[in-house]
Amino acid sequence: MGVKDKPRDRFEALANRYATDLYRYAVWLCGNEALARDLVQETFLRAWRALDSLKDQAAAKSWLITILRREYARTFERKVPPLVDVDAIVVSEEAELQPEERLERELLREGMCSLPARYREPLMLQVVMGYSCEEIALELGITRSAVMTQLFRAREQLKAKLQADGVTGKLHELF
Amino acid sequence: MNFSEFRNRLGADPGSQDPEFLAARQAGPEFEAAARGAEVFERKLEGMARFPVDADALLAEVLHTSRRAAGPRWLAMAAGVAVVAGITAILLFQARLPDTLPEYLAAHYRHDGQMVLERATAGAASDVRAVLGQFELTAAPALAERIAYIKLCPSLHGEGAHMVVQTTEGLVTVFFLPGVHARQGLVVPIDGQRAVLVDLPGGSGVIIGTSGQQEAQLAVLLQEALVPVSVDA
Repeated sequence: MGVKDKPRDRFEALANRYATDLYRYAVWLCGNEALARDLVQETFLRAWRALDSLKDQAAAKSWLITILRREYARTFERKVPPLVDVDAIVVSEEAELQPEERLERELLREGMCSLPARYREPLMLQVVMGYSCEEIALELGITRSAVMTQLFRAREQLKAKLQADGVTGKLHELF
Repeated sequence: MNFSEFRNRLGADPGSQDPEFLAARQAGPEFEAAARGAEVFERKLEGMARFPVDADALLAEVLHTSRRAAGPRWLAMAAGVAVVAGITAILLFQARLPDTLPEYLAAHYRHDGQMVLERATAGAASDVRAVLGQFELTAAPALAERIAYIKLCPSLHGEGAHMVVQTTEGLVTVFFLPGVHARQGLVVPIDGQRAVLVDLPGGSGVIIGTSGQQEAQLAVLLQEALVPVSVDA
């Protein structure tokens, strides 16, 4: 057994590669920093305990996402608070942005938080996790056509949010 | 591919490498302009969604928790059985939609009571002032210096606080449940442990994992040292 085949090394490689994106995805999924951290902790704890069941490393990302979504559904779905503290998590990055960019980002974030989950989740799978439409369809158990529709509507709603608030700026070509 | 189809594809899958989609971009100036606009929007969307994360701290927590869970194979299997049992309990709990305090306390503690204790043992960073500030509370030094770890957690009415307090008997779990006003001294059994209710400003405290004199002392400390911000200011 080579070093890279050891369970501990396999696990740490997975954590190194996916923990950050899983956390971002969890934040957008549940809208709460504390719950997102718990979700990621639980996801990797379960992944560690079930590592033997991951036969194909290429499937690791979808395996982890599936664990996280199940954990979210099981534990927090009925207790999760509304999307309230996303701003508190991400505003620190924005000191370097120009005022117009800061406003755009804030509006986008508001728009994202107000999107129905059926639109927000596929969009985050695509943007944060890099999923293809086919992979999203598989993960969510819906058709590729339905995924395309949800993604299109999600973007349209976000663009409409910017437009409604008068922040079209360089985005004018979109509308 | 006509322009309408092209715009739909741009909105759904702007990074598509489909040759027909890529070729359509060259079909005319309106196609090219729409594609450029989509690129601008995608950069903004990605910049917002992929916010900076303290990856080192996150990874350290993940690896620490899993190391604590590592052990002899039989132990891992036993832990797996325990996890399944715990999940089943939570599923049953949720399936019946109970909102009673005893059921909530049991489900919450089984969910992450041990994990939060492990975080405290590992010296994970947390911000006492920020978490308590969410509930317009502050901890006097006598309590603050003994809080080994604190985090926000789901509560019966939104969010609460989940903390681990150092006592002479060891680490003790304390929940703060805003808006819950239970009878002082109410005892709820949780898997062989006692959960004792304490009246606190704006809600109730729950002490889990100790007994006897230490429990009474901690109850007094919580009532004396956990105070509204306005009183402290």
